[in-house]
Amino acid sequence: MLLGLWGCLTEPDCFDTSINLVTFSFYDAEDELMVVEIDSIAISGVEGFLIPDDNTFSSISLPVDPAETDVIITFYFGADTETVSLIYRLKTEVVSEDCGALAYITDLNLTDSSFENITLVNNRLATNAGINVKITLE
Amino acid sequence: MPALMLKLLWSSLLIVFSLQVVAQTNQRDSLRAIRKPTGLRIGTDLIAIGKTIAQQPLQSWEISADVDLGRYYPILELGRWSREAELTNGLYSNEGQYFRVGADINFLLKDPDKNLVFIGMRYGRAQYSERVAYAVTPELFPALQLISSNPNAAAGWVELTSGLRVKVWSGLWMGYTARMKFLPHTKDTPGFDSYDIPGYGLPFKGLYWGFNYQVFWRIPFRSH
Repeated sequence: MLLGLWGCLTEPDCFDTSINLVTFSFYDAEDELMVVEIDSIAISGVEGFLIPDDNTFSSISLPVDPAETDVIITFYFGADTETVSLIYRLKTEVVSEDCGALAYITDLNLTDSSFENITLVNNRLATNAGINVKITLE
Repeated sequence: MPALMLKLLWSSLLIVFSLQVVAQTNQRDSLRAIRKPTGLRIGTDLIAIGKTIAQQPLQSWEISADVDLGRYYPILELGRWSREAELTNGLYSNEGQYFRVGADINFLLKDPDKNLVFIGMRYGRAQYSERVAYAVTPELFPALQLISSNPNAAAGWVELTSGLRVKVWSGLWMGYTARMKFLPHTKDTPGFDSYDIPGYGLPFKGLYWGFNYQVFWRIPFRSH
């Protein structure tokens, strides 16, 4: 009976944590979150520029195209520009008939960047994944 | 000297143990011994056929063959399975074949008709393909229709079985087999983790139950 109950209790939950947002966080030399001021952001595959409502922040989540496998993100700090190139892949998870299939962006990797100090913290994009890319500014 | 004593002690223990085993074997009920097979029983699952005729999302058939070796019944089961599952955001489908090999142990030792009340074990293997087509709506980008597939997937699992088989008339037998399926493992699934394994079911459940209502025909072997 316990085994039967176990079988019933192992239905998957509809926790959809899939997301196509890469979270960048900015740190200072003391490894503390720091506020940066960015005028605009360009993302390959997106026409035009993204202009944040509040252009001062310490973390920002930026969308990447699930139909592609790479992205170049350009941050415009006044006259300065910094770029980050990332690659990734899409992983399908069929959860259940009721929850459907989910597309997770995973295996995120840094291929190039003009930032001097940049590290990949988490290679999976998910609502509960936290920071993906940590940028330390001197 | 102590080494010689130790060798003697070990030898004595081995002799005593061997004698005990021989004595127990002699006392064992001869009904429990492995015997020459007297017939081949071939069967099929009526539930699978019924579902297929009723055009259920799961279409399958299964045949089985077993022989009697005294109270032990080695069994081979072969099947084919295709399923379509409508997801909230797409469609999943699979198709493949499977086999299970194992044995049942009969607890009705003195039944003249060789009816069975049994427990048994199986190891199952499946070769299959599966595909999912689904829609996602990402942030800032247009909605996408995605397709992912595992064209040459393989899986294995273990089953504990229990059931009965009863002689109805002449060579006609009927019965059922209840299955507790566990330890599913898959390979060659580059597209996504398998959602449904032919012959097994949904692997994410960890433990999966199956039930076959079967009809058999028994072909007796000629005695020389």
